[in-house]
Amino acid sequence: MVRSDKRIAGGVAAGLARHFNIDPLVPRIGFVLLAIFAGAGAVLYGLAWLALPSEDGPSRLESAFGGEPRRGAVAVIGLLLLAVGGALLVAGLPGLAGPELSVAAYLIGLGLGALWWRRGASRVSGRREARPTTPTPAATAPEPAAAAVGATTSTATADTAGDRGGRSAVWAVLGALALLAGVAALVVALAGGLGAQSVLALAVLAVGGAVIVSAYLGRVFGLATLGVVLAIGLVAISFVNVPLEGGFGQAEWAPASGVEVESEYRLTAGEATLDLRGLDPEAGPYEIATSVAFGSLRVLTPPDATIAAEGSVTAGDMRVLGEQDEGLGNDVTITTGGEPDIVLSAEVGFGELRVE
Amino acid sequence: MRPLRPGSLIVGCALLIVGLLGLLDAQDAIDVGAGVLLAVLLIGLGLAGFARAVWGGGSGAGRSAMDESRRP
Repeated sequence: MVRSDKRIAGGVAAGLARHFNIDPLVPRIGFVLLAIFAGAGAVLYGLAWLALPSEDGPSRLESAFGGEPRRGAVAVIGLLLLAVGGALLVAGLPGLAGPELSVAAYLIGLGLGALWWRRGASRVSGRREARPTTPTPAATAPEPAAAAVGATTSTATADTAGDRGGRSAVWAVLGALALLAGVAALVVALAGGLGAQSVLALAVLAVGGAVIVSAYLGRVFGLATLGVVLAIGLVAISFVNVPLEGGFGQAEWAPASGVEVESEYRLTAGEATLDLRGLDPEAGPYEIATSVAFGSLRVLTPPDATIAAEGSVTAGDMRVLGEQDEGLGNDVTITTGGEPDIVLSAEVGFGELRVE
Repeated sequence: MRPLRPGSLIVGCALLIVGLLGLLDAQDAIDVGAGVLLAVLLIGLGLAGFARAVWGGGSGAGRSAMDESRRP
């Protein structure tokens, strides 16, 4: 199996599709979906991109190791073990598990990987430059036309080597920036938390800096595209304006008493139900904020309680205590009586909100 | 001396501005809407496309006739 030249990014999905004779859209969607969940798709794609040979040459790892496939395969296994071990370590440390640390670990890994790759590529290109060349008969007695062609070829070779060196330098700068961003993310995460928007903004800053450097040193394929994709993600998160916290999937929260009530109930994507019917309204007032960034949120309130509810849906359907709205930018504030027993703030980014 | 790539320079600057505004917005230092971020990104991409068409410096569809004429 090889990476395909008919590619959008690195040619991995197109290569997979050709190998299994399926539509390229299928593996592409698979990688994107996997990437949404803790970045696994991005890591797998990156590893496959490093390990798979292209249509007209060896894999990136083989190139970095001077064309030795066994050392490349060992490196892939080593990286996989490193990734799994690092993830287990982060998840296992009490009080330190969280998406911020995973992001920091990925960024640091990306930085170290880019620097390591750059070192390998420099070594290979140094070896190639040091290799002695045998003069051809044409070179020993050149005709005028052949001399002109030779001059053009040597200029082109020098340009290519220069471009490779420039790209290598860009990767070094990108690696250093990613490393800095990762360390910054780690510091902020340990200090108190880093939201998804901040992480994306830092990533956009790092890639933007690398693109500017590449404008002077040599083009790196896909770098600007990566920056634009990250920036579009940043715009989307900024548009949703709902906390990306609480994980994925289904969630059911049903506090049975005032002691069990928390001030916030969050879910990033999925279906959530907040059942407040077990609360005693007399023991209130309760101030509760709940949100689902992508998906549906249903809040069930006690029938005899006075409710002050603020509902917000960026895009989708909303029904809050009898008020109904749909489309973009839905906001509603409702109070069912005098002094509220429950002060509720319910937000949904894209999806559906029900407060009953 | 490698030639400067104006398209990359403009895209990089646009990404830096978007990233900086997004970071400040995330930290509640300023209130920037998604529309502003999108506008900066689109203006950056548009300017980069214009720069590529005028001065070249890219590959594929963005390469201009002027860029082709520089080849030996």
